[in-house]
Amino acid sequence: MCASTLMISACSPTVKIAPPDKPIEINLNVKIEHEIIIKIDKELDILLEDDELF
Amino acid sequence: MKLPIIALLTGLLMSVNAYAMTLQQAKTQGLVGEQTNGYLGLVVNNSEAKTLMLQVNNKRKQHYQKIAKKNKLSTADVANRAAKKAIAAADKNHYIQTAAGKWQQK
Repeated sequence: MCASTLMISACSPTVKIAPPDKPIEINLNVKIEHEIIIKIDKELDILLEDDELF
Repeated sequence: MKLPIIALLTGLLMSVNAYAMTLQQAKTQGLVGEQTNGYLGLVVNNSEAKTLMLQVNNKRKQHYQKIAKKNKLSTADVANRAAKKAIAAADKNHYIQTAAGKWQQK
């Protein structure tokens, strides 16, 4: 009985939102840098195929 | 009368071509190698290889600058990335530069 009450309460869809006391910072630089690396890698791969360059 | 001149010129051009060292030959002969900065370096002091190296590096720089500008990066950033790739892709026995700046056969 006790256990089932616990289970029910554990499953009850209560969402608590506590406002953070500090502003939320999301750093997007990582993604942008990653995209640039992928882009230049592709361009460099093309260069590397040129026998007169590499 | 024209034919011998054409033949002579063609022969001359072909001999020039045969004489000029290609980048792949220079690499296989161990005259030039890949540096850590994205440019070729001279392993053996050879004037022909040096000329070739300067030409190749000039071409590489132009490409690096173009890619850098397009992606708002510095030319050195692009060159460093190219160095990693070129060193990784280097054939066996070709010379590559170590982090300490020494030449080493791959």
